[in-house]
This record gives sequence, structure tokens and C-alpha cells, in this order.
Amino acid sequence: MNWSWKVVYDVLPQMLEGLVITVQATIIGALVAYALGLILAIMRMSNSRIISLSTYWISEFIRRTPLLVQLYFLFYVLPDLGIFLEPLEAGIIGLGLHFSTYTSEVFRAGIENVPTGQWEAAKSLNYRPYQTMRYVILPQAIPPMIPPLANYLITMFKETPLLSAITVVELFNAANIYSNSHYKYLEPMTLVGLFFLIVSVPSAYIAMWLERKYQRRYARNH
Amino acid sequence: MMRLVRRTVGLAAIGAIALTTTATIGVAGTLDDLRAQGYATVAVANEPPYSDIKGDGYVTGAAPDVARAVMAKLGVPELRAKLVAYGSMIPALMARRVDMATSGLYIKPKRCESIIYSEPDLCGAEAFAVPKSNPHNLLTYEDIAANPELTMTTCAGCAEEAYALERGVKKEQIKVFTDPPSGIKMLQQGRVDVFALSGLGTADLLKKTNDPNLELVMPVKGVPMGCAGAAFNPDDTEFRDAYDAALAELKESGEFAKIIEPYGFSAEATLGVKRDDFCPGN
Repeated sequence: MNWSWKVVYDVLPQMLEGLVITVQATIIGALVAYALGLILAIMRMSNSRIISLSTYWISEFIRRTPLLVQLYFLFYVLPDLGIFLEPLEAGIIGLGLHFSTYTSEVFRAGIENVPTGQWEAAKSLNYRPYQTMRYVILPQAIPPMIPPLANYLITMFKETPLLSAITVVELFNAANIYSNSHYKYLEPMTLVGLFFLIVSVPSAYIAMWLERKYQRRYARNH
Repeated sequence: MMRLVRRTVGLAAIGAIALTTTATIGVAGTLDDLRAQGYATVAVANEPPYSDIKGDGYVTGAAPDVARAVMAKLGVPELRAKLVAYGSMIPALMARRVDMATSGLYIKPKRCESIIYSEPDLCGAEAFAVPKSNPHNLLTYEDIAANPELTMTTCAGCAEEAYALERGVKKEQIKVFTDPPSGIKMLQQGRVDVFALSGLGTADLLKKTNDPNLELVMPVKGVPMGCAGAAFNPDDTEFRDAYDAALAELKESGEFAKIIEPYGFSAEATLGVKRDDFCPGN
């Protein structure tokens, strides 16, 4: 085990490029996961049994199969069906789709925790379903959702190395490609770990802080 | 810590004269350990015809078959394969996760800094796979470098990646595949313009893919013929030397040609080169 600063110096620029891709994939993937998760949650709570049940089974299917398999499917199988995705696109869609099934549960729990009285009040004001959601339910449901959603963001961040399987050169893959041609693993992989820590430790503390903040507010309001 | 081991080698010479010689060879611990346990763990990359793992886990292909014959001579009857990507073979050897790499790992000066090789066992030309009728007329790596719009795929840390970079292909043009069949898939789907790998490996993949829209370019001009050997941990020089001696017997007896020629390799091409041609003093 000989730590070489020269290797660090060599690999660092490629890894920083990789880090940009990792952060891009995480943030855009999370936006997809949040938007799609909200839609899934609303569909799941639909009064129509068909919509509700089919949403349930689709979510179950996505959540109970490995993300890696889904990525391979998006990247290698979809083109045969005429849908061609660039590696990063396929990765973002895969991450977003997979995690939307988790975030949808957060949304659903958040919405269902709004007291029934609030729904009744909206009804008595003659609000349409959109107005009920927009002005009554979501403003109360969203704050307690923020900490778990932030935690999923961190989880997604840590899952991004899976994208290397579909040729996305993110942080881990950038290091791995270097290792493969220079036979040095100690420095590149240590740096990968460090980079993930540098981003995820502060993020975790922010998530914990959010959790405390919204818990207090929630407690005060009730 | 060296120990003298007496061993008996059965040598069948051409002309059906069977002689039995008793050779005394000094070997370091590694070969002794392998003899004691009865098998050697070898790294293979699953790139037919160099190496091929059958459905039931049996490892075959030209390189493991040569290694199996050599190791049988050395008193190790069985090979157990570990699937290792080309780029990870050298780390696997250095970390002693495997005893040898027998998968057509080309003998390259840069690799010789980290590991040691046997004498060459398989030599072959390089190839490209391209879409039918070769729309960009790619015959050499320089052709790829000349058009920065084009992209190619090969394995990470492979000789082909180095050939490309040395001949001016930009890093951004190379999309490394996870395994060769996925690389062919990327070519079929138009994600890359050219697939580069060993000649026989590429030919085998194209035969199996059997896609009339793909075409083979072989040999790729301007790159040396690639010669591979079995690879060892740098501390195992005694083991490697014993391996070389047994391999030389195999080559001389004609058994070597019988093993590799059915796979499409030329024994003559291999017999004409030495390790020192690539890595003097390795």
C-alpha cells in the first residue's frame, strides 16, 4: 500500500468531471422522482378502483425489481422497441422512475395525514378537487414530507454508481476507467469514497436539521 | 524458501517414441501449493475464442486449454476459472485473487511493469466491427482519430484502448463497454460507430450475433499483431519459469498446435515470437 500523490493528481480532473455527472444525474433524477411520485400518489388515492389498483401494482413491480435490471432494460432493450435513450438520459429516467415509487409513498402518507376535517372544510367551501389539493391539502402535507424526501435524495446520490453499468461516466466509473488502465485502485477508490462522503455527510445533517425544524412546527400547530 | 521437488514428466515425442525423463526443478511455494491443492485459480475474460466459459462453468477456449495442458504437465490437474474483466486482471494477479491469468492478455511493456508473462501462447491480428459497407470507411485507428464526431467502443484498460489513444483518438470518443456482447449491442443500436477488439474475438462475436447489418474489418492496419501469454504475479518467477519449460515442451511436441489451431489461431505465428520481443527481461 503506497499512497501516491501523483496518481491523485492524474485522476482528479477526470473524477471532477465524473462528479458533475453524478450530481446532475442525482438532481434531475430526484426531480423526476418527486414529480412522478406525486402523480403516482394521487393516482393511488383515486376513487376509481382500476386506477388505484393498477397504480399500486405498477409501483410494486418497479419497487420490487432491482434498479440495475431496470437500467439494462432501458439502455439495451428499449432501442429494440424503437425508443433510443442516451446513457445519461436512460440513467436519469431509471433512477427517477425507481425512486418515484418510494417517494409516492411519502407523498401518500403526507396527504393521508392531513386530518379529514380539512377535506370536509374544503368541500363545504365548494372547492374543486384541484383547489382542494392546491390550497388546503398540499400546503399542510408537504412540510412533514421534506425530511424523508431529502433522505431519498441522499440515497439516490449513493445509487448513481449503478449508472456505470450503462456506460455513464459518473464519479465511480471515471475512477474505475482510470484504475483499469493504470492498475491503481487505492487512490481512485479512496477518492470516490471521500467525494461521496463530502457530499452526503453535510446533506445528511441538512436533512436532520429539516426534520427537527418541521417536527417543531408540526408540534406547535397541533 | 525453496524446495527441491522430483517430478516425472511423460514426454511423447513426434514419431511415437515415448520417453520418460526424471527432471529436477526448483520451484517456489506457489506451484507447490497448487500441486497440493490440486487446482489453480485462473482469471478468464469470457472472450471466445481466447477464453470461453460454458454454461456448466467449464472453462475452455484456446488460452485456458493451453494452460490446462501445461499445468497438467506440472502436476496440477484442474483449472478453476474466475471471470475477471481485462482491466481488472492485473490487480487480481497482484492481489493474488487468482494464481494466473489465462485469457489472451496481450504482452505489453506497460503491463510488464506490474506482472510477468509466460512465453507467448496466442498471437492474432486486430479487428473492427462496423455497420454494413463501412459507411465511414474506417480501416485504421487513425481514421477514427481523423473524425472527432465518431465514437468507438472497446474494453476499459484493453490494448485496443491504448492503440486508439496512442493514435490520436480522443478520450471522449471512446465509450468503454462492460462486456464484449454489450459492445456489439451498442454498435447495432448506433450508440457507437465502431467496435474494436482482437481479430478472432471480434470475428467470433459477429458470427454469434449473425447480424447482416454488421461487418468485420480485419486486420486493422498500423497496429502490431497482439501476442498474449499466461500472466503471473511478479513474485512467481520460479512458477513462471517452470510454466515456460512445460510450454516449450508442448510447443515442440506439436500438441500445442493441435490445441490452438481448431480455435483459428496460427501456431506458426506464435512460434515465431518471443516474450523478449515485447518485454525484454520481463
